[in-house]
Amino acid sequence: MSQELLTRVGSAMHYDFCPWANRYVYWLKRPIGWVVLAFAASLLLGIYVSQQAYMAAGIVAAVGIIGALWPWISMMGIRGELSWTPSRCEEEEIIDTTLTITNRWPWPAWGLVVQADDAISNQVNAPGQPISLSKVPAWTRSRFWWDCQPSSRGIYPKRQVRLTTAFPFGIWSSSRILKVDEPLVVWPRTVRLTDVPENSGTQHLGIGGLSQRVGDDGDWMGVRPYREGDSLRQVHWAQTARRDNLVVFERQSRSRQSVSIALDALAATRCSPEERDWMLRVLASLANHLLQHAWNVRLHIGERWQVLHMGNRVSFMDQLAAWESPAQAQLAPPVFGRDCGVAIAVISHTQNNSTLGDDSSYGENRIHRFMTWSKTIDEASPEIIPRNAWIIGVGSEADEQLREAWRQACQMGISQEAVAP
Amino acid sequence: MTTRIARVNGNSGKNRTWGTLVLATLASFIILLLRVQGTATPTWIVVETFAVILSAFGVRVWMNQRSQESLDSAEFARLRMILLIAGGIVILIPWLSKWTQTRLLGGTGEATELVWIGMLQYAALWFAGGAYQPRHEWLSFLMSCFLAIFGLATSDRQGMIQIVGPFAIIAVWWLMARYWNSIEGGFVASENIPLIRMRLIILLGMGMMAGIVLWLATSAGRETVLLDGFMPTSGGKQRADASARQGVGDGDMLVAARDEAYTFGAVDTDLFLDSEVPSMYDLVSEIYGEASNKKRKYARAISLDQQVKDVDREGTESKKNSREFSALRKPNEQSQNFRPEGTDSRAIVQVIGRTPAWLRLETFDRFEEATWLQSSSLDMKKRNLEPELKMIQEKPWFTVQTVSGELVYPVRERLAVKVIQFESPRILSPSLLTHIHIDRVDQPDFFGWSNDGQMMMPNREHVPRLTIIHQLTQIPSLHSLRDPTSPLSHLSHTQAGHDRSGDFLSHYLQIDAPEQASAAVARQWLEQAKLVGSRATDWERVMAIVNRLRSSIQLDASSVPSEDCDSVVSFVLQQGRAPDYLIATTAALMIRDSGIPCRLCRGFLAKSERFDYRSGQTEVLPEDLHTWAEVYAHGMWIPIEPTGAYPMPHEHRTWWQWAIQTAWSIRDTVIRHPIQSAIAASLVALALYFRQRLLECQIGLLTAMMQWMPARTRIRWMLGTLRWRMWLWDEPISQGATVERWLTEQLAIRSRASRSDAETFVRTVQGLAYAPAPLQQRTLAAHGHVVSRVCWSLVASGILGLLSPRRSSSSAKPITLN
Repeated sequence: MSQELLTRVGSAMHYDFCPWANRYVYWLKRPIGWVVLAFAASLLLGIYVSQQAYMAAGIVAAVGIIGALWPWISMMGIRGELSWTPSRCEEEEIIDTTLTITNRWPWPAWGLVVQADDAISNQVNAPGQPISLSKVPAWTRSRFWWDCQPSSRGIYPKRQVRLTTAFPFGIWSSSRILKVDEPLVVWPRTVRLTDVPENSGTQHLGIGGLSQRVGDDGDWMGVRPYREGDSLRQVHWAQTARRDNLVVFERQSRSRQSVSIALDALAATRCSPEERDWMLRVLASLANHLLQHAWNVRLHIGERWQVLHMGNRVSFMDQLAAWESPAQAQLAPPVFGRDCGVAIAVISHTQNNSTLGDDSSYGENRIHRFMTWSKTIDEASPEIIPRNAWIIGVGSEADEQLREAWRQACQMGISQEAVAP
Repeated sequence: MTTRIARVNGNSGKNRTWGTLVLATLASFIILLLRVQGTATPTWIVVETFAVILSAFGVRVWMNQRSQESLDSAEFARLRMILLIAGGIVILIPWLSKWTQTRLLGGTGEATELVWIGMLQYAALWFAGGAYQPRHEWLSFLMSCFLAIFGLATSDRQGMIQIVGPFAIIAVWWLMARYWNSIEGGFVASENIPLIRMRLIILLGMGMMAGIVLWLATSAGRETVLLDGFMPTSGGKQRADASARQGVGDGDMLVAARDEAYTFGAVDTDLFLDSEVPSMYDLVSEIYGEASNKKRKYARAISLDQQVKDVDREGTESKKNSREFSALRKPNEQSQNFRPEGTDSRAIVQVIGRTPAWLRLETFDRFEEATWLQSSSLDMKKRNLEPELKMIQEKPWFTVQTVSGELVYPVRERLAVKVIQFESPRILSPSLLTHIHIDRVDQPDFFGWSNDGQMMMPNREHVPRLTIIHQLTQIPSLHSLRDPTSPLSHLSHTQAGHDRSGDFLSHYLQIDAPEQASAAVARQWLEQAKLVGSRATDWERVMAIVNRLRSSIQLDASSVPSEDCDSVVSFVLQQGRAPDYLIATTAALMIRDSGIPCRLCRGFLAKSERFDYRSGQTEVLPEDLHTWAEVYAHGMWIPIEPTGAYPMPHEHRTWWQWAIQTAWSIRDTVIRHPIQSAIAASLVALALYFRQRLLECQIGLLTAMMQWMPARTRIRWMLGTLRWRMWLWDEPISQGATVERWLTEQLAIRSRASRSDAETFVRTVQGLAYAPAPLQQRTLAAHGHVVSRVCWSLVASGILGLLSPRRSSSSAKPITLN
């Protein structure tokens, strides 16, 4: 009751009754604005009321001038460079951050603060505190280091990193841009999935060999009549001429299974950034896990697709780090061909706007839907969520939920018909 | 490379400080002063304010006992609600108070604007006391600053500034602390690598700049300044100056120690061999001339000490200090200028300390047959203290004398004497020497007393050259001697009942028979000055004799008596000119005639004019050999200077004593020179009476020198002097007067300018005051000659105003412009 009342009082007191005036009075929100106002008021009082106010005007002016000049002069002699080791990491992974500052002045600089993107402006040892430097001695090259834990994916810095100081009074800050030679690439965080997908235990797993099952690779095992969809390169022309019907080769199949993972781009565009990040985390987790178990992964994002393997994993993760939702007009449904693999994992959102269509659009392929959900699973609306979808609630339990969904998918068989949880 | 690991501070909420509340309290005091002025019931306001201050402090104490987490928690919401309601009530107190006073008690209460200010005052206090988030403290800080500025601007009470000053200091500190608190939690580890290369470049650059400056300066010929502190070198100049800072032609045989009294560094063993360094005997012969060979009536034997002399020292035997000093000497015709080979230094000693300083070397007690003698029967060794070791600031000092505390200023002065080239075992020292110190010398047998009571280094040929002798001396404070009621005022030893225990003083009262009659002239002087009997103290008599000698006897080294002169005192008084030793002899004998023990002293006078401000020391040259006298007063010898060419010894006086003495001196001057005094007083009175005319005349002369300035400047100067002259004559500018009217009136009164010139001048001035710049230039160009005429007329009237009769502005007849 009291808390609610306080909240109401606080809301009433913070209510913006005249937003049109903000452009004229927002300068008063800065300390230098108070100083200017106090100086002007003191000056006017000195002129029209009492000469004693000149004393106040003098003090305020001195504070203002010192408070503005000191930081400005201090930063004139400061140069800095920011770097990370390593330069690639996953979200919430701890990395070393190094800031090298050169002070060319014969006097120290005090009270400096590093201003960068929120995701990288933190230090593990002092959560919630700014990254600040107590002192850069005169005529020195100083190296500052701290442990950073990037909170969200991206290529940093997204905006200029600045070294600022408002010492001594904090009423006016002066800054200098820090040089960044190599950006920091923060990949989406991957969840460690424990269950091993089926059909990965053949003898050729490690070397990517072939199995005796009929497929499109390796040596030919026999011939059969042509079926719609067979490649013309498979036609056995001699037998075809002899039988006057198209006859094609039957070849060996690969021991490694293929799977397609599709990201629902339209849903990613419409959901919140946090939910979008979770979609990418699910995508990255599945793709990495399958790659580690020698599956061939084909990734579909919108109408674009690419085959993933260990050689281009870093490039793939970089793309995920930098991925931004395209405009809706550019979105087209993905095309799953015959090479789409034994199953298709769809990473989507519980928004009822999908470019991926219903299950029938995927033909005979097995569909596994992993859907992120910003509320709890219990709150999920059954009419929106497809029957065979796993719901990954966005939050602290998302890791465990993804692990459980994957475990169930593995138990059912990646290539088998999924049963909705 | 230095490494620092940052200390990680969590934001525990315990960093809430009292600064905001202190600021709010100070601002509250400022407003309290304001409100107290504007109310009929100040007690009510004071009690009310202090109650709120105490409440705010109580809340602050309560809040500080809780962690930030608990204050932010939902459980605390109820208490925060109570705080909010209580704050609202506190803020409304001034309004409630006024309502109570006006409606219930029938009073007037505070003015409405003060009620509003009071509400803001309590709001600032309450926010400071109950702040649990930074923005609360900021809000309180802003309100406090507003209140401080408002209070300062709207009150004229002096106490306001005394509160606003600390408020401003604490506010600035508060701002700094807030900024530092906001960032200190995130300080990160660091290591620093000095930019050696950059520093080297800077240092090299600075070195090059210094080199250029040095080169430029040396090329300008200012070697004297630039070579200060360097070792003196030979050659390079054709002339040498004893006072020069550079040791041209010096330093080869001696050491750099000549330049600085506190340095030492012998570089040549010849220093310690026989040299031409003068002894006292040599100096006396050089400065005062050889003693006359007067045939003595009685033969006198001088005992030799038991020290075995080496053969090669026999030649220097004559350099031993003499124990007699003849007052009959031949005129000194040529100076030998003792100067050791290889050096151009003529300094005997160097002195650091107050100058002038009378550095005593030997004293004489008996005067027989025109010769001063040191009585062999007078053994002052027994009367003086044995040097006693005393560590002062871990340095070995020896206490050598204690003096009467009532006759000296308690704070001792320090003096350092460095022996440069002088051969004597005696230590040059002032009369009131109390402590002595030579670096690292901690054995008492290094110091002793001579028979005549002079500090010396016994069993030594002489004080080692370049020795620095530190001394503590006391300054006489002789007010008690001038106070007739003081028991110390009696110095005479011929009065009945005087303590005769000091029989040795009889040596200092002896007057040779031929001199007695002449010395008795002193009595006539004292009678003339009406200082006999109980109307004056003994010291006043001494000073009367000294002052009479100082004023009547001129210093003349060539005025020496003949060999057959019987009375040197008579000679001095008759001639009216004499060398210093004869004047001192005369003074000593005259003072003895008054029954006051006195003795002759010989030594050196460290003169102020030889003080070198760059090294802070004073050189003493052979020609500074000096003779003076000392008067015995209650166990101490007080120097007196009877030679008028030399200054009087320093004496400590309080301001009051100085004022009284100055007044008496003026009185004495007036009595001695009544006609001159009367003329001077009349002139001063006339100057005061005609002060306006004199000042006007001076302004006129000054204005005349301004006539070469441009016309615009001259006009401004003229207007300024006109206003100044009006102030001088106490003529205020009439109310509502325009420039035209005022200037026209002033020109009519103070100048002889023609009417047309005056009109033109007035118009030119108005043009300068009000017309645009191009027109001003044209006006000045057109009327420059008129301006000159009027200005000169004003100058002439100012100068001639000295002779004009006194007049008033009302008698002036202003010119009216058509």
